[in-house]
Amino acid sequence: MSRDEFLRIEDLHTSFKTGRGIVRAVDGVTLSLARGESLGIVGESGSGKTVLARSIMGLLPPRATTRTGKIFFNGEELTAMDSERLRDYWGAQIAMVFQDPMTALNPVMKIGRQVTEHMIHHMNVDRDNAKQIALKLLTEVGIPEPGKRFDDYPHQMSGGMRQRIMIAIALACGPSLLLADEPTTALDVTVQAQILRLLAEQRAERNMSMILVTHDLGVVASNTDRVAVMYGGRIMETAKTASLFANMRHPYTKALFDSIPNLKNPSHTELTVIPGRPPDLVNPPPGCKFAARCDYATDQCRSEEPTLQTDGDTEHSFACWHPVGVRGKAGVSNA
Amino acid sequence: MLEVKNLVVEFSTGNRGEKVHAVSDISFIVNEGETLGVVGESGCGKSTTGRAIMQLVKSTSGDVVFDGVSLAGLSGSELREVRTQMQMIFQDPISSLNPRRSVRDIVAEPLLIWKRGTTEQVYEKVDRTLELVGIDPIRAAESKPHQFSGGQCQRISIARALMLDPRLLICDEPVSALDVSVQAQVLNLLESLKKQFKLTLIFIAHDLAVVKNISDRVAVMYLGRICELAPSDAIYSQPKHPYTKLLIDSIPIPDPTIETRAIETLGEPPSPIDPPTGCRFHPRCPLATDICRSEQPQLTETSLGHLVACHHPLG
Repeated sequence: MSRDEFLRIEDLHTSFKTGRGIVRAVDGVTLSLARGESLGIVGESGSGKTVLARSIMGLLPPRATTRTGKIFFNGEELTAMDSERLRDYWGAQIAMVFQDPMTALNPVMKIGRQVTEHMIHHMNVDRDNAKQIALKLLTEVGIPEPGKRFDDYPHQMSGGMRQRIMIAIALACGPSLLLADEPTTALDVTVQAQILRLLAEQRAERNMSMILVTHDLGVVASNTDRVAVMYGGRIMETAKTASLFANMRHPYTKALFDSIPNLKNPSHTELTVIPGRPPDLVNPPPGCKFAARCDYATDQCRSEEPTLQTDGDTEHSFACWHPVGVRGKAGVSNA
Repeated sequence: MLEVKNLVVEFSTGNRGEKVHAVSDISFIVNEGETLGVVGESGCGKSTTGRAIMQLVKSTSGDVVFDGVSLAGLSGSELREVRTQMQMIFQDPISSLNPRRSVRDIVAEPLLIWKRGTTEQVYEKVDRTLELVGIDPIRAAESKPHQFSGGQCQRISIARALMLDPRLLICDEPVSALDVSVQAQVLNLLESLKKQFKLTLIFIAHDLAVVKNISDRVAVMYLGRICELAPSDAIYSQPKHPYTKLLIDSIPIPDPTIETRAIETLGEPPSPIDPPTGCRFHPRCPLATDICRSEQPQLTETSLGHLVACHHPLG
């Protein structure tokens, strides 16, 4: 493993047992992330993006879940550790911010205690020191009058403030990897802009790596260095953010992008539609998972599953038999 | 066609004398055949406005006039009669359908209640409408709502709303629970049905890009008041209210070559229980002056069809 591969995921498969059969939520994902880098994982509901993030953290119910493949973090294999050892990583080196700050916070514990709790556990600081660090942290994440807020309960705060608290908790022990799962989806757009800016500032200041899971291509465009597009549990396309937006090679990426209403277009512009619906991951179709909804699908697509390949630009890979866009680095000459 | 006059909706919080000022004195008209978008963040009163038009919540004062008929003074049965002309679809398509009945029966229900035609005629119309919204009538006859996806359930809600041939359709966040690829399908469907049935739409949503795409005119709401009302292309190209501009600038643009615009941090919307005096946006507004803090700006026309409620309008 090379030194710049801070996080490496090799052929990860995560599946759940359900009443209907086995759901292959993540179906063979390989990814890597450099220190300080920000990776966006984009997909629609059921694409496996959240399960992927939780698999990295090891936060899935063990009884119903099967996970195969390897995950290396900073040279150590996370997938080989028991939960006892993982506890040294959770919160301390790898932290997570969830979509819904109301349910992720403990409703009957004061804010202050939730922020200091794992500092006391991981960093060997006493209560008073932890409080000093926490107050500084709350100021950094933009909580006005943190001294007063310290003894508040989560329900006394707005959604945006609660998400700031979540971020403060995640940052408390100085993690080197932050997993942010739809951190702004539950927030209003003006507050979303503030939270995204806060995450970017903190990431730069701490040289922290971030995986940003989202359904919103707009959020990805301005907040990540690289993007992976997921569909049906697999990565369909991955590239530097600038290259991906300049030259979309997978028909799914292109279709997803085209279906977003664009503010630049006049009103009543007809939207491009992706016909049909996502595949059933209990009985996934053979071949490419997107074939049934794809304009370019041929018999090969319906029978043979494409793997990630590159074509000219070594940092831009896509899993498609009939890629769209332009071969090589075309379109990003000025990027 | 529809006129909302000085509508006020207040809810009691349960604490003595404490009130949520959900909608505070708003007035606007909706013309026959147009789509009026209503956009704003959570708690701005956009959903309450939709519900108050339908008389699903009681307004504290003010009136809604539909086709010359004042709805505030109507009795229960008169109101039911008027409501056949105006229908509403909701954000969560699955929970707004009865989980224990077949989809075909759910869609038929309005016609059966109003005894419009024989059973045969009713189901003929049901099947025709289901086909139109892209749902297989045979599957609808044997399936319950949970057997359909979110996007399909929204189509079913739309079919049900169309059963009584309404003239006005109020859509409250109809696509916010849907994935973007499915969202586009439902938006295109609404556009084509609107043309086909000559519908008038009120489209309530928080997503500005979606609202711009479907609307002819857009009303921007903030803390219970309308701050700007203008043709949709104009409101996005030349926003005049600082809040409208903040909203537009906050939208993440799916293009990494565009630098994110620096937005001044202005905190979060205050509580509608105790709204600020004067202009309700003044605590977050970079242009606020003394007059904004003391005097409430009125919605006035600054150029043709472009209304703004601001003491210091932009551009």
